[in-house]
Amino acid sequence: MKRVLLSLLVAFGLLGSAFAQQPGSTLVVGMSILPNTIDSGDANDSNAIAVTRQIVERLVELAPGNEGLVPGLASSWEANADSTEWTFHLLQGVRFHDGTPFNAEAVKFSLDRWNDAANPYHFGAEGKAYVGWRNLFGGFLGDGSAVSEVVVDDEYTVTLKLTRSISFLPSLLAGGYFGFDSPAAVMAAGANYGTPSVGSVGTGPYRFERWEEGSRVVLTANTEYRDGPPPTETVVFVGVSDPTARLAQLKAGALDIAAAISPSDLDSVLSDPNLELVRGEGGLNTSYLAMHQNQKPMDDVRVRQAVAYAVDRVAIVDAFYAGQAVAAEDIIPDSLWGHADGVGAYPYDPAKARELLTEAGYPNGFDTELWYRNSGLEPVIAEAIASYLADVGIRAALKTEDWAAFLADYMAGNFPLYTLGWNADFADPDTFIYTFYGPQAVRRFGWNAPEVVTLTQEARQVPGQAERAALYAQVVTAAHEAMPVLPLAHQSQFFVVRKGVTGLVPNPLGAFPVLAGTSKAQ
Amino acid sequence: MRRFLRNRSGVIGLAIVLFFTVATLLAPVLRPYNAGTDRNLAKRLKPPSAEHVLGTDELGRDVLTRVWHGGRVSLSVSLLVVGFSAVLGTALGVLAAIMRGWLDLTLSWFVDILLAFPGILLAIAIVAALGANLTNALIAISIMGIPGYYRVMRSAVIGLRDLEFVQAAEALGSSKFRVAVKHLLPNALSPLIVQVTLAIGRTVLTIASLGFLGLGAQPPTPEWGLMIKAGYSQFLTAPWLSIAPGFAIYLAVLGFNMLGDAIRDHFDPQLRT
Repeated sequence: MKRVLLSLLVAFGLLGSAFAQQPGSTLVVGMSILPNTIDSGDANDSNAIAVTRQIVERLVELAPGNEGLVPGLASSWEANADSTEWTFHLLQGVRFHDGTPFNAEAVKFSLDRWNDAANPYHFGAEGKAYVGWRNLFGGFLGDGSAVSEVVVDDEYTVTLKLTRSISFLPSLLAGGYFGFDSPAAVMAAGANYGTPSVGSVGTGPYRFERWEEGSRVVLTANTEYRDGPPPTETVVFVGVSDPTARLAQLKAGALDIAAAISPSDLDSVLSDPNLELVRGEGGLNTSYLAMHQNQKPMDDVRVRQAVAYAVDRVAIVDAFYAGQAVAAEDIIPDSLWGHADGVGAYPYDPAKARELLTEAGYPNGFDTELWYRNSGLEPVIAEAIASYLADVGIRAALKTEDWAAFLADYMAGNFPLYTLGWNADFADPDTFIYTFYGPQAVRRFGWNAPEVVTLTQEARQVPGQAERAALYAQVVTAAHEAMPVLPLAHQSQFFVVRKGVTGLVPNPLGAFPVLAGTSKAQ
Repeated sequence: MRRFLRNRSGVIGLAIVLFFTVATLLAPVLRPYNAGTDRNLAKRLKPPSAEHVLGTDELGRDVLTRVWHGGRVSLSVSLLVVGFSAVLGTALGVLAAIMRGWLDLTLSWFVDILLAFPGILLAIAIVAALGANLTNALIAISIMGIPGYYRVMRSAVIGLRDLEFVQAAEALGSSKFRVAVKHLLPNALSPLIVQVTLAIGRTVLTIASLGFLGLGAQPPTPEWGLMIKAGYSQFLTAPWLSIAPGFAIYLAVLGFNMLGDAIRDHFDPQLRT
């Protein structure tokens, strides 16, 4: 039924764009916070990308509603035999909002700008950090970057030369950060590109209109859009930080679409005849309970396994996510490949947990700390986990601190236990395997397993999915044994909209969808 | 005593205070559930019923049990806080009054600085610097309370120190400290008692405020402010989560204030007939 509903929505979305635009129509979108920049290459949070996604477009796009890839500004692409050179064939006749043409030179301009810290339009000294590029491509040119050169083959063909083989490069380029800007606009605005005073210029269905700082970002329809003008004339993004207040504004009709509503508020959504839940399939994210091995007694594998046995993940997911999540079997969401056959989650077994604790020399349990972020469901889930741990004798004091301090502390190994979540950057198991069990595992979890790290790196190099899957299965099995981190849940993506809003298709990556086909019945 | 019993609001206040004291002391005996660990995820957010008179919370714990235990936290912490700031404030106030001179000036100057900060803001600043937990909140609120006692005791002792019986004691060779402890303090006690009773109600509220802001008690401690905070985002669907601890705060503060007012009236010479 859900799938039927979803395909209906997709159909409506596509139909929507074929309808004539309704003059004066407006959609108001409530986000948790307004962007800090709308220069997509420099954006590093989902709220910024939600806005830039409407303005700029990527070479490769995520298919609406699933994790597949579809052509974006590139109509097709191919790689050489060892995936070290990728050639993209671009759409012809596309123009930026400022009228300048989109072509291979424009692609090279943006790629060089992100990749090369010495590029005159990089503006690193002015504070642009390109976190997305660094995370996904390993660094800047000559300093870890996987991209060594961008070659313009002809007006509509461009080739990326890589320093090392990456078999899933198109997945990386579908990342929300890599939308192509008008070179003329970047050159004119300089370091101010993407700030409230100048905004950004792309090829997308909406163009930047104005940004009232601290209040709203206003976009207007790109009437020249190649698939026809979007059905809504104006899209307004507003920031409302408290999810309950955001829902209240939606109920009052001040918003048409609300993002990041807490699953615990879903009851009040479903009972409101004016609201509708728009749900996507299989969210590509994982929430988890990490056990940092720098902290005793988490260095004992039996203690970590005991923790895994002690927590009833299924009951927690059933209780708090209102049907909007599934209990995690491993770190990779179910809709992606890369799982290991026969390796499931630890069952809920407090007796077994106590047994393991006794074996490890803690028959009466021990005192420890469980750190959580003070946001959304995280506090109550942490409290539930602590109560399950208390059942087997692990007395975990609940602690929290502000996000900046938390980021530094968990990476420094200061927390014996902590809960966090990870959103996929792109639709490939690599974004989970490499992030969790790759070179960063020793910092994230104090898990020092060089042979596993080698497997994660090898899997980046081999081209075939079958070979990569075999390597990932080994990694997942090793992680299951060593239990550096207990995966808890994969949450599906959903938005809450006013009745009459159609054509909004959530993306499994958690990225805010492109509103090219979204409209509201007047 | 009989005169006090004629004051109806005082008697009601006293009754409420006694009720809270007895109830919280007996909490473990009276309630069948454990406030911290009786999780039942299958029964979360259930409205009040015969089994759970005030419903259940987000983890399926009995709300009445938690409110009951919350009383233990609020009242014991309030007594500690008030005790600490009363002893310190009184000592400093008496000291300033009998020593006079530069010590009085310096102390009064510091206290004036403390008074210039709005109390809750000062407490938030202290907790932010020391880290958010109940102990630090306790320290912060205690420091916040000192100026009140200092001012009251200093002026009370200044009013007394030139009276004849004090001068007589001094003339007979008593040391300043002996005079302070034996003669000044006992005679300045009534404003102190009033101040203390009124402060307990105020402290209950401050502790809850810090808990609500996430700067006081941390989960899973059953603390009233923290419970309101956990419940307020679900106020439309599960109002009992916030109403129960909210009403408990209301009742406790009302009780201590009514009692405090009655004691003040009792000691006020202008109201004596």
